[in-house]
Amino acid sequence: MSRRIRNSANHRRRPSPAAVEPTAGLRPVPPIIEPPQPSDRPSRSPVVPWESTPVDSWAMEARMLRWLTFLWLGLGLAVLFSASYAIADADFGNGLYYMQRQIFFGVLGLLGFSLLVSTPLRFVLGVADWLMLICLGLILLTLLPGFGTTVNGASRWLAIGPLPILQPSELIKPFLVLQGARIFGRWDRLSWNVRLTWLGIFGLLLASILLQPNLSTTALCGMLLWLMALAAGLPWRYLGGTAIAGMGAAILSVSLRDYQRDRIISFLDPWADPAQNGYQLIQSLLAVGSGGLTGKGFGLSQQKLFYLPIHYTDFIFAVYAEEFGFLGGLLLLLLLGAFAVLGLRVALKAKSPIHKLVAIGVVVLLVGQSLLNIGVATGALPTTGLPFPFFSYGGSSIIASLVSAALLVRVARESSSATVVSFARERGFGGDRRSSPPAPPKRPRKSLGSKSL
Amino acid sequence: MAVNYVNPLPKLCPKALLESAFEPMTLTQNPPTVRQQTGRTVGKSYQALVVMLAVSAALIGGIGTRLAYLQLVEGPYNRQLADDNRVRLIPRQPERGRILDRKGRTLAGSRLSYAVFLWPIANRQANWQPIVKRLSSILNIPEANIQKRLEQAGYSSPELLRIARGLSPAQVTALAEFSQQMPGVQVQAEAVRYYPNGDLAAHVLGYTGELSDEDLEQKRDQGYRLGDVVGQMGVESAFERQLRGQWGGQQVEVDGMGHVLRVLGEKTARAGSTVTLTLDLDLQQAAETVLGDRRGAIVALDPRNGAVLAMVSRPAFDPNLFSTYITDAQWQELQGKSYPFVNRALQGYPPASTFKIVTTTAALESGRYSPSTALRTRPYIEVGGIKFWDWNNAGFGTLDFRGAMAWSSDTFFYQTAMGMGHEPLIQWTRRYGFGRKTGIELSDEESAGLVPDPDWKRENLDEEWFIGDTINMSIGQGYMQASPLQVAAMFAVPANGGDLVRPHLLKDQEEARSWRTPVGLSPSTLRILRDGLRRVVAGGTGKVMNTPDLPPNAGKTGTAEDPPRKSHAWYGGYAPFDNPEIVVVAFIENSAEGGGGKVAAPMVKQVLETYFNKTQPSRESAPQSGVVSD
Repeated sequence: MSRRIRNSANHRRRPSPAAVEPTAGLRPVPPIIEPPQPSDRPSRSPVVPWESTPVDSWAMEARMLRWLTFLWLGLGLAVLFSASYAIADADFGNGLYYMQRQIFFGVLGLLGFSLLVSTPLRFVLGVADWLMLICLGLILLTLLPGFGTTVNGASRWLAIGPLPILQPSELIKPFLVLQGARIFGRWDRLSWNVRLTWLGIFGLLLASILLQPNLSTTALCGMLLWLMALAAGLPWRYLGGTAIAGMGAAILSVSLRDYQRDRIISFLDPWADPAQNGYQLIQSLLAVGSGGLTGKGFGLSQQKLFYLPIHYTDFIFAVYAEEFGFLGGLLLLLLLGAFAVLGLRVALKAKSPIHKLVAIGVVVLLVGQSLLNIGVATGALPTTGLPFPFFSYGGSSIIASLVSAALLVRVARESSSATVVSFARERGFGGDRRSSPPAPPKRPRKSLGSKSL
Repeated sequence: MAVNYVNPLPKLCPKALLESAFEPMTLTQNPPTVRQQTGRTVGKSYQALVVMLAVSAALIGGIGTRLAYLQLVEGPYNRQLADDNRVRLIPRQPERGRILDRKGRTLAGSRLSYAVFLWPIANRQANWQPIVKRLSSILNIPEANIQKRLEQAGYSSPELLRIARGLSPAQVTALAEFSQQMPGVQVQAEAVRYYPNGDLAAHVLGYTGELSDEDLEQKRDQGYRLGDVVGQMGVESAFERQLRGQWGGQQVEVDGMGHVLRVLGEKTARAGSTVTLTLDLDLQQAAETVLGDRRGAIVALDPRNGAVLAMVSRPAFDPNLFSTYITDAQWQELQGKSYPFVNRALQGYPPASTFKIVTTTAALESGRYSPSTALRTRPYIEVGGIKFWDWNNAGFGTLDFRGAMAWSSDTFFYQTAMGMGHEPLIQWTRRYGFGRKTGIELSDEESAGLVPDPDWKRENLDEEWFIGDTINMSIGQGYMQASPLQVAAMFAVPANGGDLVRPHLLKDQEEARSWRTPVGLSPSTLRILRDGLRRVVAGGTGKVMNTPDLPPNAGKTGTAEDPPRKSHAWYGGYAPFDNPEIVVVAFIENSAEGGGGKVAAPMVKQVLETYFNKTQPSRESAPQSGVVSD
């Protein structure tokens, strides 16, 4: 399987006629092209023993998404370093306190990333339901008194013995994408029994996150599932119904919880109560606004010096915007846009509806969440507690984000394998890699994308 | 291929899940449907993807616009606000001007003391709760007080708010120890009012205290602020404008914890002006000592220009108490005294026989009596069935004005009063400055006293003016009310040759110094007054003043009945007789020890001794027994 991918990718990178022998998949043809020697592939995965394909032989989208992920992660670590140093120094006497933990979880996440991009998606899909159910169990555990660690009035964290604190509502996100893709991608072929069971589980999940209480994550997960269902082509009446039900639940939650209502009111006019409910948002706006065109420079944020609370988690964008200004903000938006375009391209190219939905879900999860977070920090949305993927401090968040990104990269890799055959047929068209309308001619069922069907 | 979905843990699944979640096993039995359905799904997802791309683009565009608005359009404004975040104006209280005595000795100054400031914006409202609790226990201030101050300033106020002054070293240490747990709490040194002589001249100097809420409303436009210290009484209040100075401030850069990083700019506070008073510390000290713990007042005046050399009122208070936070216990103790904040030197009392100066003047100037008039004095005279007794219940034989003054014969003056009628008496009473404020700078605390007349009596008592009222008034009794300061001003008239002066406290106030209004005494009247007053000391009711320690002096005793309480004791005198430099009036409220000649005159004597001989009376020697009782 992996050899197929490798070879086909090779051909795409170096589209010499000789290299695209259709027989390549069956047997390498040594005389025509230098055989791909292991020594030529320094970028072979160091952590995944079964990965035999060098990264530079991956599909373009996969490679670009991988590098965008690394860029995003590196940028995020740099911003977190600047944002967290002062407060870590003040709180723990160690300016690198948050950085060290973030790097630890980042490395952990990168291990998972490498593992996942080298693992066929169908394996991951195969255990997605169980992982999601485990995470759901952990979320339910946070609701039990004695297990949940309450921070700022919300029980979102779990402390597992000596292990660092875990936030299952973050960890569940990639598995929710996978399971959502599995359900919605095959919606038409599932019995109502199955559909309702899983919709019930999703509903339970949303309800339990809402009870933590964590309105923003609930809303994000709800929107994620809804968009995946939309992309899957579920009937509009279902979508409209759930949208209305979701809005109703949100309104109910807001009207029952004073703090959520206060936040929304203060979002409309933070200056009405600048010392209390409006304080966070005002300080964030001041941070973003005082960045100006070019920003104050890396590390020179003033608002991070204890004026802006939780500036190293949910409001880290404010620090970024203050230090890098409008231009920095545009570049970050460009990064998000590029990620979204690439991700949606991957979704377009993916053969399997499930893969499409995984790609779409990951884009919504990473880009959508980032945009929501920026919207909050810039006062365009009510203040909520969504982390900025790869930027905000938080082990669960960074692991979940890296796992999600890995899924997207994996989808990109597997999608490209499906195009190999068609490319082989259309090699005269050079770089045109779009799948041709006719079905893959020879071995469509052997391509990985269709196998999962 | 569906084998791939086989989960290693199917047996653990609930039955429904087992059947549902792993449906794919059964799905592959239906390949044609699969393909068809897949096609439909894929086709739909294009639309969805377009929608999502459009939404993403709109979101990114919207956020980009928002960023541009915040960072470019409103950027400078936001930056300014953010700067305000870290730039804090620490107001610097101006040092209050000093108050000096006439020789430049300090009566009121400032000393450094530690004060606690809160920075309301440093914490959110909820986080103040534990801090306020701890502060309350350290500072001994009720929690509610601190809470109230915070609410007044507003929890978002970026300005420092002082909640306590005059911390003890132990309190400063305690605050420093807990500073980590109490962000937004700062201890700073600042100047507090200090009165080195304690309660000396307390009523003249007054005290300082923080602005009350009502006063703040009125004075906010004059640049006063919450927690500002203002003069509350006496000179502190009367000369507030001069003493106050101008607020300065320090612009400092602080981090979010409130730690000062650097000083950006400083506007120095302008200290208040020094106010030099006419008081003489030595004389004041002597007067304070001789009055002791009695209720009453002593006023010393320069008869030539009205400068107040000493002014004592008892009971007194220690103005230092108010410079810092006054405890309940201290307040209760003060309230236990009899109106300690009333300046008795400025309150009206019946002037008693000292008033005979006015009666003599009125009688002579009315033309009904000549300098050589002699009248027979009696044990009493009876008017309308009422017996008006002489003070010794016997009379003194035939006396002229000088003799009547010397012996303070009441029946003599009754007769002159009956002879001239009430009109000249009332007129001359007014001319001597009674019934109106003297013009001293402490006008807020000064009582005008009372000069009764028929109109006043009709209005207030709904009664006609009787001859008995004139008789009572002629010996400074009845409704007549005069403050010790007014009495001192009255004594200044014969002392300086017939002019009314304006008592004043500000030393270099030329206008007040030169203010002299002739009362309108004829030279013969003046001579008789002076001779009479001299004879009081030389051989009358004030013989205790006739001492070789003093230059020849003159004066008049007085004992005002205040039934059912004990009588008030008065003595007013001036010295030296031939060229008077000082008038001293002593007044003892409801004196338990006797009348003017016995209690008040010895006090005046000791004050004069201090003035002329630079000796300080000892506390024990305070009142000596007078030879003659009034």
